[in-house]
This record gives sequence, structure tokens and C-alpha cells, in this order.
Amino acid sequence: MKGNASITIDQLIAVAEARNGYPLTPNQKQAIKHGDGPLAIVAGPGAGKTEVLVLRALRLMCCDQVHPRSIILTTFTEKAARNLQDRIANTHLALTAKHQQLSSIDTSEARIGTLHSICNDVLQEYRFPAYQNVRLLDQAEADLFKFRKLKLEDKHKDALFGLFRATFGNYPRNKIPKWGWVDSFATTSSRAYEDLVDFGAMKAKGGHWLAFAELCEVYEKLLSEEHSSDFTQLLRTFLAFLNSPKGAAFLKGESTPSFERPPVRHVLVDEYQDTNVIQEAIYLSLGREAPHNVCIVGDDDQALYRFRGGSVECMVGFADRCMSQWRQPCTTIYLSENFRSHKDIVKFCNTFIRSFPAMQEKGARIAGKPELISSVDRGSGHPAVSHCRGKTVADCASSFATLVRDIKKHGVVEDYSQCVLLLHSAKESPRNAGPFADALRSHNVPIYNPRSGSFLEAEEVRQFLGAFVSVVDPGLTVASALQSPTILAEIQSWVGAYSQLAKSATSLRSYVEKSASAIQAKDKGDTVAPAFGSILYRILAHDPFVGYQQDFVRDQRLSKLTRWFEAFSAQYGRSLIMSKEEDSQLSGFWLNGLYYGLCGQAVRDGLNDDEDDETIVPRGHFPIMTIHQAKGLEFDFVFVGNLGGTVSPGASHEVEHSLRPFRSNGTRSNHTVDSLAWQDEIRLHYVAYSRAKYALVLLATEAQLRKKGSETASFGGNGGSWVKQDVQLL
Amino acid sequence: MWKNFSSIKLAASTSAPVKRRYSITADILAYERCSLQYGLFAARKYEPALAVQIFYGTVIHQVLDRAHAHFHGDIEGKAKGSLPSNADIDEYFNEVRNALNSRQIRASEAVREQALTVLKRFNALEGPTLYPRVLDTECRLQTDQQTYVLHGNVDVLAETAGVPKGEKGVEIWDYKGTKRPSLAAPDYDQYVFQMQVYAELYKRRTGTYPTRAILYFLNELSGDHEPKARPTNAVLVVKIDQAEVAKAIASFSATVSQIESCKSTQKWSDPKHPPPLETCNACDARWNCEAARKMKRTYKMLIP
Ligand code: SF4
Repeated sequence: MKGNASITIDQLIAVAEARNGYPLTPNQKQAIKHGDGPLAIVAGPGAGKTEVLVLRALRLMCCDQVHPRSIILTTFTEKAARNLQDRIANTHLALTAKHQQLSSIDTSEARIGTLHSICNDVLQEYRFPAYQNVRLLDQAEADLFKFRKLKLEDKHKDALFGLFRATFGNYPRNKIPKWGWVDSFATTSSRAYEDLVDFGAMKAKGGHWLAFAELCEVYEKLLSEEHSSDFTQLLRTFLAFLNSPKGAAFLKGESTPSFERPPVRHVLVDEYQDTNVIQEAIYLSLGREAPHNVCIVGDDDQALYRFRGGSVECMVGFADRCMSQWRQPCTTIYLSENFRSHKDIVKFCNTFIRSFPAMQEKGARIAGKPELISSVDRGSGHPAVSHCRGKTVADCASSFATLVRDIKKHGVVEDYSQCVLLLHSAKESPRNAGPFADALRSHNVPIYNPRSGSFLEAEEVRQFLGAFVSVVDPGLTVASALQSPTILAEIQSWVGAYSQLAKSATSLRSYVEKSASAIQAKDKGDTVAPAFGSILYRILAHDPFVGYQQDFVRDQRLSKLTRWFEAFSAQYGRSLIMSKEEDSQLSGFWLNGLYYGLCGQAVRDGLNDDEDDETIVPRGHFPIMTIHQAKGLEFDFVFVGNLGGTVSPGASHEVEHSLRPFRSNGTRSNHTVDSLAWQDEIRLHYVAYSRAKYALVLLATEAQLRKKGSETASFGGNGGSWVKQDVQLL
Repeated sequence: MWKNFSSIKLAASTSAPVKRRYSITADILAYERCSLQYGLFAARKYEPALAVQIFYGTVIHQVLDRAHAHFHGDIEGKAKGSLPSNADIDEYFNEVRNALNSRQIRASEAVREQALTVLKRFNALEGPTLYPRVLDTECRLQTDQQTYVLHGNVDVLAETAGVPKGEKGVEIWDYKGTKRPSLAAPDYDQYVFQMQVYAELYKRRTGTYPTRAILYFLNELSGDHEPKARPTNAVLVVKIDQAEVAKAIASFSATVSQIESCKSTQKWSDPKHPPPLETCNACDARWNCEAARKMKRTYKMLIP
């Protein structure tokens, strides 16, 4: 940065207001103007928190002359990070148009990203020894890594089953497949790491706990032997880095003759309600130098990610942490004006969240939080909150689809993408999105549902996988011996799809047949091909796949398949090698890895289409989304279906509870598992309901509406009768 | 039912254009080399089958990065200011190789030998004069270009030798794991272009241009005999000239807009110039590539 380029905060605010065309609220201004010291911005839905975050970051760079490199700004997804980066850059452009002297500030130098990406970058930049030449495994590959490498002894299985029964669903112990054990370990170990449990204390407890702690050590050792790391270990390494001399140099800054590495001076954290304990420890370490400029932004009522280790209690207890850690009071600013929703929707949300006893428990919400204030005009001639009921789900779905078709037909909305259907799960099964998707289709409404879990059902996917399997395991010799009937059935259906296709696709068939015989003709132990991925491309070079690649959706699926294989190649090998024991077949290790590992994982979890980073919903399509997917989004019309579900603690609540005695830092509250389950379920509904701008429509059956407030979190503390009485029926 | 809502008419909003990040090597040079191949891997996100190709480049860069860190005193147990020995190079090489192996990325014995040989030779030949001048390595530089963000990684920033004290002169070094291309080869211009863009990035960060850029072609150090002095072909010095830099940035922006327009139409046109033969020879798309066929490059389908 060159020269003394700065403007006043009022000048900054003036430019922003002129650009937006509306004034900032006094609280928003206060959040931008706050000086040094910890700050909590508690922002309800639609309160304009991103704008505040953007302007606060710019205020630091443009008014206080903080070097952009001294600012760390984290958010929840890469997409959100890019969005923030863009908004900062664009607002900066508007500022420079008026205040030329700001042009030398390069806002792209600020560290903006997910916490994981920033940790990874900094560790590499500072060449932290424990992270040199380490490969970061993504979630899917880390699971495959565990599947391949972890050898679970009986005592480990006893420990997992004894301690964390809930992670196995209803499986009896002797029926648990290998993936079941791997998933259980993945969930529980990452939770233990993220909760910063004291493994020493755990070992001292002996028995199952000792075995579990040892298993975690085995896993760490395997990772280090294989020069690998996963997302959780990355955070642990980063925490260790911050406490090392290199970490001190990072925090305090250093100057080399050619480059200045400025100190870390400001930490801004978006979506703090979904932070976990280890992340909290990282933020507190990043801000450990006085005056502790850590600014957190979020809404405790919108926490959604306990199942991934998130701990809303970090947000609820942030002010206390500042006090206990630094003896420094934290300023809390509430952004309660809601600029998104119709006043009746705001009122509905306010009533909803307060109506449950579970939300009134101490520590469930930030104490003294004001209600949302409706601050936007969304008309008054229509029912902003309404419900649609039917005898069966199919009835509900049919009325819903008719309504969707008609509001588009009659110009209430211009495009389907202005609406959304929110569900707990978007899988197109009868209990989830299935009936709604069917109804929309029968009303000729095009659907966008990337999380339908139906990736593996797509024609091109099955044909392609079938062709590949027919090359590497002709006649399914190895597959036939699989111990898992589900995996075998899946593979057989792929080959079935391919065989059907092969009747007409002669050139493809000839390639597959020749290839299969070429492999069978090889000697034991021979290398057939240095990279099996080339076979994928040779299959793709034949019709009908060449044609499929002209179709955007199909092309994306085929592309995803090539990436899907990458995690497998990195774990099981890229070259195709003949078995050393059996005649005319490929290595059993490799094929079994393919079947049990890769296919097993897919059959278990289902595969989803990729979501585009750039468009939320393609025009012309009606989106079906999970509530999690809709986080941070808003729609003119929001339909919420499959209401009235019962509330019971899930595996994540149970695991959190079991690990609680070993937590070395006391962030988590002491709610019972039932309370936690209720609170999470209530927050989930609150997020769904608060996405709506003009209209919120609840879709429920008569039976669902008969549920009481003590049975379901869908309808507020007074249950379905409240909806029937107070919410207009369409 | 819809009539409940007949009082409102809601227009669909148009979303703001997205600002994308473009890298000199991974985007611009890759697109220039072959727009079709770029479309396949970078835009449509197909996974290349031959990850093996990245072995050589990765090893060269990461081992040299460690050699610099060694001299700089950043490696535990190695004295600051000491030159890495051959044994040290062996050690760093193995570390990097292990990490690549854990991704199942391997190279043949011959390739490994060659990489190790040129690394040791470079260390012995250039280390004593280069390492003491190094100011920073693996620098990530980026800058906002209004409609896109431009970024790149500079291998080494070194003090320019022979500049009078007080006048700080900084030069950029870039390691290439290849032989030096001939003047007529398209690679040649691309390398020069890359250096001009780095120069601009450096200037945005520090306010001044680097004095010059040095491309170092490590494979010029291979062969049966260990060179006693730097082979003439090992380096290419690129002069940094403001007009040339401006041209490079303009051409960068032009390529970005071509890429953006391909992205929006989802159509990837044939390469304007024939890609280097090695590029096609190793391309996953070659089994059925119309563009390659037009250039009389035909590939017989391999089995399997
Ligand atoms: S084969 Fe050659 S022309 Fe065709 S996409 Fe590959 S590199 Fe480009």
C-alpha cells in the first residue's frame, strides 16, 4: 500500500448509502463504526449482515489504513467467501470513483475464505514442518482412506458399539458392515477432535474409552505415514502452528527485505453460530493480542450444523469467553430490522421461536435478544402466511403443484426460480421429496433438485459404469463373490444398463469386448495400463457418450464420474495390474477396493449432482431444497412440506453427550440430549420459515396438523391447532 | 387457490455478474495452448487420467523450495546460511516423492533419476550465488482487475546482483522442468508473456517493477556429464519493459473475455494454433478429437 490514502467513516457510509439507494440503520452504522475490542453482531434473518460485514472490512482498509493482509475474514462456504470478496471489491470500486486516493488499496489481499482454506494457505505459506508435503483429503477421500487403512480389532469395535450405539442406527452388532464401522469412527473421532477432548483423561478412564482413544492415535499415525491430513486434523495442526514460533511470526508480522508480512490485526467471522469448539479456540488464538479485534457475526437462532460438529453454544457464550479469556467486555450489537419478509411472516417467526419451552432454557438463545422488526413493505392484499392441507401427502402435493403452476401462469411470479420447496431431505423417495416432485412433473413444472440423491439412477451414469465394469471385471467374476448383496445388485444393474445399450452401440461394444479379452489374456502380475483413468476416456470417446457430452446436464454427470474415481485412484492405485494369484483377472485388492470401497460408499450415501458454484437456481426451474441448502438464501414464495415430524435425539446429540465429560474447555452448555434435539429442530424450522419474502405456505396433512406442540417442532409450541386457527387456509 | 395472490406481481431478479479468478498458468496459458482441452478439464471439470505428468514439475519446485528454506534457516537442524549437500537434496527429494506417492502419483526410475540429477546439479552450480540473494520464494501474488481477479505464483524473488547498495533491485526467477524452447516455438512467447504478467503483479504489490525476469530451464543441466559452468541455454533473461507489460496485460484480459464467452455459451472452440504435439499426444480427449484430426493427428484407439 502506498501513501496515506484514507477517508472518514461517514464518507464511506455516504457512498454505500448512495449506492444502495437506502440508508443504513443506526445499529448497522454502529456495527461499522465500532472501534477496537471484541464485537458480536447478532443479526436476524434478512437484517443485511453481509452488507455490514463488507462495510466493516472496508472501513478497516479505507478509513483506518489497516493493511488488507492484516484482515482475516472467514465464512462458511467457498461460495459465500467469493461472494464477500466480490462485494468488497465492487464497493471499493464505488469508493474509488469518489475518492481517488483509495485506488492503491488492493482489497484482494485480505485473507477471505473458509477457515479451512485459510489454515491450509497459511500453513503452506509459512512452511510449517508438520504440514509440509501433506495432502489434504476431502471428506469422501478421508472416508475411503479410513475404509482402506483402518484395521479394527475387536476391542475397537466393542468400544465404538459400546460407547456410541446411536451411530449404528438399528443394526445389530453382528450385522454391521465395514462401512458402518468406518462411518461411526469418522463421526465420533472428528467430534472428539473438534470438541477438543482431553485424550489423556479419556485413556485414564480405561476400558472402552482407552480403546477409542488408542484407535484415534492409530488413525493419526496412519495419516502421518501416508503424508495425509483431513479437515479436522488440519485445524488441529493450525492450532499447534499458532502456538509455535512460526505462528507467533504470523500473528505479529515480519518484514523481509522484499516483502512485508503484516501482522494479523482483525479477525471477522461470519456465520459464527455454526462454529465448533476447535474453531472457537483458533479464533481466540488469532485474536489473542490486545485489543482483541475479533468480530463475530451470526444468529444463534439459525444454527443448523450440530450434526457436523457445530456448537451454537460458542455464539451464545461468546461474551463470556471474551471476559474469561481476556478480561475484556464484548460489545454486542443487534441487527433486528428485517428487510426481507412481509410483516406477517416476521410476526409468525417471532411467535414461533418464542413459543417453545426448550428455547427459554438458559443458554438456548442469546439472553436479552430483541424481536425481529418488520422493516419492508411487501404488500397487504394477500395472505403472507398460509397453509394448504389435505388428507394425504399426495393431496397436499397435488394442491401445491397446482398453485405453483398457476402463480406462474397468472404472472404472480415471473419465473419458477423465485419459489422454493423446502424439506428436511430432498431425496426423491416416497417419504421425502418424491410425492412433491411427482406432482410438479405431472403439472409440467421443471424441477431443479441436485440433492435428490438420484445421480446413480441417471441413464448415462449407469451405462457408463456398466461399460467400465464390463472391461475390468468381465462376466462379473470378482463381483459375484461379493459378500454384500446390495452392492452386487447395484453393479449388476449397471451392467444390465450397459448390455441393453450395447445392442445398438456397436463400436462401444467392440471396444469393451476387445478390452476385456485383452485383459484376460495378460499374465499374472502384469501391468495392463499405467492409468486406468484412460479407459474412462476411451469409453467416453464412443457413442452414445460423445453425444451425451453435448447435453449440459449429462456432461456434468459424466465429468463428475471422472472426479469420483480420483479419490479411489489416490487410495487404491492408478495402474491396472493383473492378480498375482488368480488367472486372467485384475488384482483382487483393486477390484474389491472398487466394489466395497467406492461403490459401497456410493450405495450407502447416494451420490448427488454437483451444485453449480455460480447459479443458485437455473432460470425456468422450480427448486426443491433441503433447509440446509437454503441457508442464507431468500425466495419470494417459500413452501415448506413434510411437517409434523417427531423430535428425538440423533446420533450427533448422543455423541456430543457421551464426549462431554472429556471436554477440556467448558464451552458447551449442559442441556439434556432431548433439549438439544428440540432446540435444533426448532431452529431448523425457523430458518425455513424466515426464507420467505412475500409468501410462506405450509403444506401439511390433517394427521400432521393434529400433532401437539410437545410432539413436533413444526407448528410452534401450541402445535397444529395454532396453525389451523391462526394461519389462513388456502 | 392462486387468486389469493392476485394482488402481487413479482418480477424475477437478475443476478449480478460473477467475478472469477484467473491464473496465468492454469487458465490463460492452458487456454492458449488448447482451448478445447482447457474447456474439458478447467471448465467442464473432467479429471485428467494422467496425473503422473505432474510428478516432475512438482518435485523440481518443491525440492528447490526446500533448498531455499534450508539456506534461509527455516528447516530444523540445518544451519542458516549453509548450502544443502547432495544428501540433503536426496532427503528433500524423498520427502516430496513420498507425499506424491501417497496420492499414487509415481514416476519411472528414469524420470526420478533425471529429476534428482538436475536438482543436485542446480544446487551445486547455482546455489552458492543464488541462495544468498533470495528474498522470498513461492510468492502468491494477485490483483483485482475490476471484472476478474488475476493471480500467479512466483517461484523466487532475488536481489539483483551488481546493483549499487541502497538501490534495491529485485528480479523474478521461474523454474521450468524442461529444456529451453527454440525461439520459434510457441512456448517461448508464452514464457516471456508469463514473466511480463508477473512483473505487473509484483508492481501492484510493491510499487515498482522487478529489474528483470529469469527463466531457468533445469533440463539443460541433464546429460551424461555434469556441467562445470552454467550452460548458455539454461537461462533466458526477460527484460521488463513497461510497454511490453501493458501489452501482456491487455492480451491477458482479451483471453479472459474469450474464456468468459466460451463459458457462457458452453461451447469450446477449436484451438487457434495447433497445440504442441506432446500436448495432443498426452491428451485424454485425443481418442475422438475432431480438431486433432483436422491437424492430421490421428490416434488409434488403444485396448483396453
Ligand atoms: S487432442 Fe489436441 S487438439 Fe484435441 S483437445 Fe487434446 S490437445 Fe486439444
